[in-house]
Amino acid sequence: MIAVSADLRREVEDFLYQEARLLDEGRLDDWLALFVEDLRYWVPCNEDDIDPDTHVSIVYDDRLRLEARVWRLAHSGIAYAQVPPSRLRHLITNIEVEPQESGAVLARSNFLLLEVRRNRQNLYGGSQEHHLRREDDGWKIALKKVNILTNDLAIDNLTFLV
Amino acid sequence: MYAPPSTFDPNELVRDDRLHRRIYTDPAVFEAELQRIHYRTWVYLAHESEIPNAGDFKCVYIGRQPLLVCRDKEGGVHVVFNRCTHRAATVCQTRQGHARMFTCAYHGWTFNLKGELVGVPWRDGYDSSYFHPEELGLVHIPRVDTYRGFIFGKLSLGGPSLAEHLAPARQFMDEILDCAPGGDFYLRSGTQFSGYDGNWKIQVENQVDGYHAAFLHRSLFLVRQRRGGAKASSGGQAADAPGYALGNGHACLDRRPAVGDVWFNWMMKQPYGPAFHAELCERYGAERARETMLRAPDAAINLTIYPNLHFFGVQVRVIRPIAVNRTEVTAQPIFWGKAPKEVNAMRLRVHEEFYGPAGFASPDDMEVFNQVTDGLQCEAVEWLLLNRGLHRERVENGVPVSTNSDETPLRGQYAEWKRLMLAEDGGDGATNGALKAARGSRGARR
Repeated sequence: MIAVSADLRREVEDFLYQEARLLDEGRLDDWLALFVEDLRYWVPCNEDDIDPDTHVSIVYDDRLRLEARVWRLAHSGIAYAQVPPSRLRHLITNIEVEPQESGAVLARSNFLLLEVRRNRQNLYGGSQEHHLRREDDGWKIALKKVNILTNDLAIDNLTFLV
Repeated sequence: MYAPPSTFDPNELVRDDRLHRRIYTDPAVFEAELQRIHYRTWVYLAHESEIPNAGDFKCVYIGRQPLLVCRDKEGGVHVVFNRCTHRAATVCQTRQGHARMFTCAYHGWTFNLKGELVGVPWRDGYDSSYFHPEELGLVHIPRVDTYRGFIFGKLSLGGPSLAEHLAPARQFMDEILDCAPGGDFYLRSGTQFSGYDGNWKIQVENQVDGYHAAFLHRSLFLVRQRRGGAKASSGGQAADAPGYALGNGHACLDRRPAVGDVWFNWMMKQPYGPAFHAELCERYGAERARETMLRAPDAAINLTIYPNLHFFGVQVRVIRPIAVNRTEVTAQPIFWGKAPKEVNAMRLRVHEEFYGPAGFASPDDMEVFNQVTDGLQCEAVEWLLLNRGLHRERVENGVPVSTNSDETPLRGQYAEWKRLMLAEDGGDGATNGALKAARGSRGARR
């Protein structure tokens, strides 16, 4: 295990908070810009550790799919499950920063997501993994994996970005 | 406290050209539907491929009633009520898994994979003059039958066989399942769960409503058009594709005449496409190979087996009524046994784009179901229209058919709804499915 410096921890924490704020403020194009080119945005289904090629996911986006998702939500105006859009607030806690041999960083954290839509507040929680790579203009997300605690229960609407 | 009207006349609420709002909002109607439809007719439960080995089990529901589907050591499939015969606790708490036996947490009664009672702690508290463990096994539901591995159950004894029930839909069901090379398929690729705060019939209508897609799902079709798919204005289907009211409530949109070659061409551009195509040509001939490639991402048949099973895209969908205003929907992608793993992975990716709680289309349906449910509260506006295409609907070989944007399939569903709701004995001698089931079992003998 590679020791994590206070500076790196602070950098990664800031990055996670900034990412959450972009989602909460609905700045989806800016959020998309946080990802590397060959990105993966993944919300497993039924359990956290599945093989996405043999088990269905809730979301398993490559760049093409995620760009389409962001276009649909932010620009189509007709993604009806988000008309009007959910109001979101992400709380990110229990952050653990694990530097990798490659220079990449794995950040594990827990989240609580408050979502308000259709006169109701919904709570989602769970753990998440950010696999971060340092590129010329700073940290980028190679993989964001969101393990929602209720991924084996009925979820009525998860069309917003978690 | 307000008490809902306790009586209703199905003939009043369901007309040939319109539906009354109460069938979606009245708890009394919902309770009657449970008794007269879901607890009486054939209902889909699970697929045999989900429980391939001895000891494999799956917990399912018919309406609110918990059932346990399990495979015994001889390979037999049993469907029992998930309810201890002693003091009623459910004996299995895991949705799906593997067990040697089922032990009730409450007092330790143990049942084997056939449901037989094989263990009773502190047995000396029971005397053989009144205690007959051989009669206290988990209670089997009255009827179980399968078709191509699809396990159906029936909570009443009488009525048609499963084969009779499925007959009007069987050809389309076969055509969907035969998209798999060699007809070899299985359901072990996970289950997406979603739901909405509305009546179950709204989903059952929607899945054979060919009118809405071009409008409600336009954003998905625009996404597909941008990457070279069909024109979004087609709504995934041309107006001349047929929609059928098959009979027994089953209904079908056959989108195959409308989808063209788009998916075939797309498949051939995938890294695994040409090799898969060549292999299919060798095994099954060029014509079959072409059909298989074309249908790999989408069977292009929407088929509802009334009341709770639906085939759509690559998936098996199950609709579970929970309350008059609450419904849960599951989707399981069908995997092909004789296909490269890349093809099955592709089926997952295409499925995820459309369906599930974060898909580009299904959640928009659910959103509208919620909107419909809100709108239905307007008591002064009593009727929902069911008349689209009445002037051009025709009958072919005894089956009502029209263009798939017409409401012919929905009219077929409501003809069956009315038949089941009106039949005092359901046409099968069972006035109360649940009661009949209990009486018919050995365990409930006095």
